[in-house]
Amino acid sequence: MTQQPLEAYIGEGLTLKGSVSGDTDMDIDGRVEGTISVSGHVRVLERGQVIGPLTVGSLTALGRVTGDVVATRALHVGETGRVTGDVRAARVSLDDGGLLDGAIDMDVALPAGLLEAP
Amino acid sequence: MTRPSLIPGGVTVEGELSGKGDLVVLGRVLGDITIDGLLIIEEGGAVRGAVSASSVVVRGALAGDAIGQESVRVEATAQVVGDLRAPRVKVADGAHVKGRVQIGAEAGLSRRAVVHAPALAQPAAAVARPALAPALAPAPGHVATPAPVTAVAPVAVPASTTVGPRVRRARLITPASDASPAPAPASFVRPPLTMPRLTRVAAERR
Repeated sequence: MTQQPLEAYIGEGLTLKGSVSGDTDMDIDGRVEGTISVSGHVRVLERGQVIGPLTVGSLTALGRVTGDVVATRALHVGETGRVTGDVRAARVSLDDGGLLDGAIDMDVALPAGLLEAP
Repeated sequence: MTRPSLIPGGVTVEGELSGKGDLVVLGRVLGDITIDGLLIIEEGGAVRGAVSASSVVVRGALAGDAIGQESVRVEATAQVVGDLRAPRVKVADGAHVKGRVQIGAEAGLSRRAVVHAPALAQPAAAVARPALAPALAPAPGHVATPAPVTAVAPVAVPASTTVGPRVRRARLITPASDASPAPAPASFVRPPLTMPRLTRVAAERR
C-alpha cells in the first residue's frame, strides 16, 4: 500500500500534534503542530495553519505556515498565504498580497564573472 | 456535511489528533485520537493509542481503548486489543477483540484509557482467541433497541457485578498474557469469557 488515490486531509477544527509522513498529497484546513514529510502536493488552505518544518514535493500556502519549507518541486504562496521561515524549492512564486518572512534558497545561475569585482 | 479528515493508506501520523469533525484512518496513527465526531478506522488502517469520539467504528486494527460518547462498533474485519466503552457497543461476528467491554450511559464519559503497546506488531492469529469482558448481562432497565443482525449489544455489566469495581483501571495487556495470564490479585478474579460464547450470544440474537 504505497500510493493511494486519496489525499490526506486535516479538517477545520482538527489539531494534529506530531509528525505526518508518507507518500501522499495533503490538504490542511485545520492545524498541524509538528513535522510534515510527504512526497506529494501539500495545500495549506485559507483556514489552515502549520507550525513546524515541512519537507514536501510541493506546497501551496493559502493559510499560515510557520517553519522552514523544503519543496523538491515548487512553493507557491497565494494572496492569502503567510509563510514565516526559510524556504528552499526549485520554483518559488509569491502572489501579490502574500507574505513571505524568511529567506529563499534557490539555485541561481548568474552570468559567468558577474560577481568577480572589476 | 463537511469533509471528513483523512489519514490515507501509506501515511503515518506520530502524535495526537484532536478537535472537531469526523476522521477516517486508512493509514497508521501512533498516538491518541480525541475528536468530537465520528472516527472510522477502516480496514487496512491501524491506530496505536487511545481513541475517543462521539462514535467509533473499527474495521481495521486498534491497539488501545475505544471510548464512544454514543457508540463503539467493532466490525467483522477488526482486530482490537483494548477496552470498549460506550452507551452502545456492537461487536460483529468475526471481529477479534481482546479487552473489556463496558456498556452504559456513563461508559462513554470515562476518559481513562491506556495504550496496549505491542499489539500493532502482533500477528492476527495471536489475538484470535481473545478474552472478553466479565459477565455480559442485560443492563437493568435497558431500553431494548432493534439490534443489528450481527450485534451482540445491548448488553452491559450491571452495577452489582461481583467481578470487581465497575470502572477498573485499564491495564496493560500484552500478547504474552494470552499464553500465560498474570496471576490475578485475590480480590479480582475475572471469569474468562471466550469468543465461542460471544458468537453464541450473537447467534441467539439473529
